Amino acid sequence: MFGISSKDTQLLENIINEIFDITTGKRNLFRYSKSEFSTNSLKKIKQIIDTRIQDSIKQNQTDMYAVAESQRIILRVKNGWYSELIEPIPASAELNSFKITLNDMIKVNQSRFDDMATLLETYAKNDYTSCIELHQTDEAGGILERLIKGMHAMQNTINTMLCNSLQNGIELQNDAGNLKQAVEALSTASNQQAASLEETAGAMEEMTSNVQQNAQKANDMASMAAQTDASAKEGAQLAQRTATAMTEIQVATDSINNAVAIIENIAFQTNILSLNAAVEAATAGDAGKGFAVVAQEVRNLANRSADAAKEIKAMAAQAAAKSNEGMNIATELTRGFEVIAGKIEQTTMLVQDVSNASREQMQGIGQINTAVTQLDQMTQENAKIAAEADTIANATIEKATAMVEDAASKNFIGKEQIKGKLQHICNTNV
Amino acid sequence: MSIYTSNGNERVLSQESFLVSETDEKGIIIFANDDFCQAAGYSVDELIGKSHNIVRHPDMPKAAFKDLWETIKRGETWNGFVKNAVKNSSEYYWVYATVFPVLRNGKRSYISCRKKPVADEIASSIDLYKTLV
Repeated sequence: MFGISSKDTQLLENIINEIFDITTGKRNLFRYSKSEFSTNSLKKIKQIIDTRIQDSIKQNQTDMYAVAESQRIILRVKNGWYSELIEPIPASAELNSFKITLNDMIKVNQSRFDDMATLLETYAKNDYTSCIELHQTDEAGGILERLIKGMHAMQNTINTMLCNSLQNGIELQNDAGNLKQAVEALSTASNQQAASLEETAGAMEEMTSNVQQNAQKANDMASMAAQTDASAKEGAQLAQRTATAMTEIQVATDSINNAVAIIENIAFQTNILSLNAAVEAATAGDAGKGFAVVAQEVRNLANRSADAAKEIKAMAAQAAAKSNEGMNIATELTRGFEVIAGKIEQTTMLVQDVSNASREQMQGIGQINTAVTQLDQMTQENAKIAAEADTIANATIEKATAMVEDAASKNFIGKEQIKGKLQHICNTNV
Repeated sequence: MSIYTSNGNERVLSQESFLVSETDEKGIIIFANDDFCQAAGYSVDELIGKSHNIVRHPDMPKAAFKDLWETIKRGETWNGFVKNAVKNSSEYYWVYATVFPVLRNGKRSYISCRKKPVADEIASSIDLYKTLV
């Protein structure tokens, strides 16, 4: 063949096969580096082959190393590390192109992860105003778009939540402020009420004492009326007895008059007799002189008796007149005592009325006292409730303020509009 | 898909197989790819952190590894045919290994790539290793 020896031909055949086996990766080493051709021209070719085949083996090694390193890097990418790129440069242009593509993918994915991590770090620092977006070159409909949509949904949810939180906090703050004012008004009213009730209780005490005094006085009056009644009755009896005595006096006076009439008659007759005796004595002369003196004496006595009788008569008449007067007085007295008795009865009834009224008043006062006590308890209860409500209102204000401050310390979409409202509320409140 | 076919105790690697592992400078495995795990019969977790001689076969002469270590410690690439042991069995597999010394961020490590050797390469290696201790 081409004027080559069969031995050289065989060797050449073997070498050609070996070259293809090595370059296609079927063999690892070149077995014919020490074999030699017999002609000089072939020897020269063999030198070129030796050099080139070693180059080829080295290129294979370079590629192998690059692929091995790629495998290691890709494992790290698979495990989420992403910070290393494939460094070795493979000899094969295709492998190199593939390596560049792989590195590009690693870089892009790393940058995406980095964007997401940065965004989440921003969120962690309470800034929810930004989000990641699908780039113009990114393919829609894939997992990346799903992720970005998910991030947007999360951002919206958080923003809505924070808006609500801030708004609710502001409203709660406002409501709690109003509640506090109302509670303070209630507290003031309760205190005033308590003061009024204390005054009322004082007035009631005074009133009770007055009514009790009234009742006591009514009792005194009743007993005095009873005593007066007894005295009046006694007076009436005495008047009755006076009247009886007066009647008896009149009867006695009549008897005296009768007796005086007899005495007067006797005196008259005695006088006449003495007169007759004097006449007789005068007739008797001297013998009768002594008798005349006696007759004169009798006449004098008769006259004196008549005078005395007259005096007695006058005195009896006087006594009769006086007893008559006494009778009249006694009758008037009796009538007076009857009037007194009537008045006393009326007085007793009035006193009874006063006493009853006092008792009713006492009952009324008792009821009022009970009501005042209940009112006082209720007022105290109100004051206590007001104090508790105030504590709750304060706690609510505190919590609402914390809520507002917490929400306001974060950055989110819609915050400024709500803060504008907050300003408005603050201005109207202050 | 298996990367080898069994021939008695030998696991004959397929043409497409590409076994890769990386060790630190003390020979402790820090990376192993699937082909390596499959051929050696280990899971990745079983290999990471272990000495690479976990797959060393007793038929291999010590001189071969001495040469390997001397070469790569000099910073040169070593290659050669190696008989490796399969986990917990008398099975083995032959490879043509190329070991690259790597300096990454100031740290030395070694990447080992293995490909299928052809039958005559194995046969001549067996002959060669018989002469070595």
